[in-house]
Amino acid sequence: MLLVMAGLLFAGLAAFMRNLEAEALRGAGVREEVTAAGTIRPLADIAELLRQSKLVTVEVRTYVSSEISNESWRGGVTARVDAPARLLYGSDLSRLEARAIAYSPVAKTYLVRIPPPERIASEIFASDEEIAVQVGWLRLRSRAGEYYLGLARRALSDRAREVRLSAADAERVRQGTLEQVAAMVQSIVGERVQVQVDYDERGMR
Amino acid sequence: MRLAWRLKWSLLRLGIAAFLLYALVADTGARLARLQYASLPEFDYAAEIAFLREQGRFGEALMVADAGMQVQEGQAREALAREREITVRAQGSFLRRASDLGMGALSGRGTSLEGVIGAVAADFFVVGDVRDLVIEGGRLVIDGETDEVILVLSGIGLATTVAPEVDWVPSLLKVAKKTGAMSKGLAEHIVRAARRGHYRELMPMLRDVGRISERASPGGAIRILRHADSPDDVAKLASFVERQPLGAFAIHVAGKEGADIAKGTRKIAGAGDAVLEQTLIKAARKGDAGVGWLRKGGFKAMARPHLLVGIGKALWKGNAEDLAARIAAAIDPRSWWLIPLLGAWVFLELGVLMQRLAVRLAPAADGREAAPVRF
Repeated sequence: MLLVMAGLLFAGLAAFMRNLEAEALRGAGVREEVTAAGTIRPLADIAELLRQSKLVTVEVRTYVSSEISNESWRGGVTARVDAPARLLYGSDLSRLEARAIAYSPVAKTYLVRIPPPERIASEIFASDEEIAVQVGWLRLRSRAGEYYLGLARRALSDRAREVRLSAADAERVRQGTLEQVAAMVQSIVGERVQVQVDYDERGMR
Repeated sequence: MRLAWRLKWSLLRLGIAAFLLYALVADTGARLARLQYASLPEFDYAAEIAFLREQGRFGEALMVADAGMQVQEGQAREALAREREITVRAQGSFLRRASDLGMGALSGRGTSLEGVIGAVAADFFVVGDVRDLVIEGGRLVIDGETDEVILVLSGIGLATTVAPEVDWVPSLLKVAKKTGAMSKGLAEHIVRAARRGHYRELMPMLRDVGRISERASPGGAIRILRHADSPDDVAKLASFVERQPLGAFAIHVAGKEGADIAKGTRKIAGAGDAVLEQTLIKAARKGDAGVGWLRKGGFKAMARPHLLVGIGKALWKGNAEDLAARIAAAIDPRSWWLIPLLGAWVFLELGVLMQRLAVRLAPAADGREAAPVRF
């Protein structure tokens, strides 16, 4: 009888001890995981997801002008076209490698190095253009004027390509790209970690 | 008394069982803390090294790599060795050095780490001291405002004859001041000493910063200085990183909590400073999870010495203590059935004892004393 009681006591205590250990290991905050799933997302996964995004773009709105002049004994012709334009800059994430992403378990921060933004497209809004044509005393606006206006319009895309951003705009593009990528990475890795995005310019120095 | 003597073996068995049960049950809190600790994932040294390297914090990356290589074995250690090699190559890259030097040396106020490194590099060549004297002195003339700490440190930097072995430390402190890593207390101490003209008062602190820098790298030293409010704190932190091979790494991982333990400002009743320091090192080896465990007080139970360790110490300080600690560690995973087993043993012994006592004390039916029952 005593042995049976001792056996029951042993079984009861063993169950209690196992439960106690399980509770201790389940104890809140024993593991300070990063994602809701309980693990840190592999860097290669993040790189893959970012690569799928391919391109991050920042738009700069500006005005481009083109002016063509012609002088002759019949008088001069000057045609000028001003049109709003949209310059698109982007950082090509399709080239991103897994090693471009690092994670600090101490700072709980992802560091992502992306390629610097480059101009990827220039779009001119011809419908909103403003034209100015000046013709000499023996030149016809309908002939010479329209001809040189056409040339000025054709040169608009070249002018748009030649546009160089001011320092402030260039900084805005760089900053905008960083912010967009940071938001994108944050949506991938969750809000519980910090994201730091920087340009990978080591090869450019 | 005679009755006790007759029951001596029963009592002895009961005593042994009860003692062992008490020893294990009394250690339950610490054992659960040890189990929690063991269940935490190991710190990801390789990831931290890669992150620090990408941030240009090469010295700290190497410090973490060295710490990891002290505790890791096998393939993990080889992986760390590879990361370390990559970091050394990146650090030594001529292109990086050249570009870094060009960035911060101009103004000495680089916001990026590369810029800060540049500022340090400039300071190493005295150029920085002259530059800072000119910039800060110019400000004093123009708008009457200047950073007195930078002025003082620049002066010390130029007077290298005062203590040639730490002539680079003022540069480091200047970077700490410029990046906001120098506490108000430390800055005030520097200015106070300078106003009194007692530059020599600063020498012990400069030496301590040098000691931290040797263990934690210059960048790491600047970050550790954030936690020092006085020259005393700097001395304690320097002593800690020298005394503990993983000390700098522990503060890197545990931050302020680690620094508080290193400075001795965080006390736990019943746990000595040495035990706390060891616990901090243990926690740091588990990274952020370990720091969380430290923060939640999981270490308090662990910091209390095990009963068997205490007995080992009392008997023979040294090997017996170590043996007792090993026995205690070996028992941990088996406690879930050892404690119930000992409980059942105590119960059985008590039962048997009660039966024997009942037989002994109960008068026999014929009025004679009952015969002893043997088990």
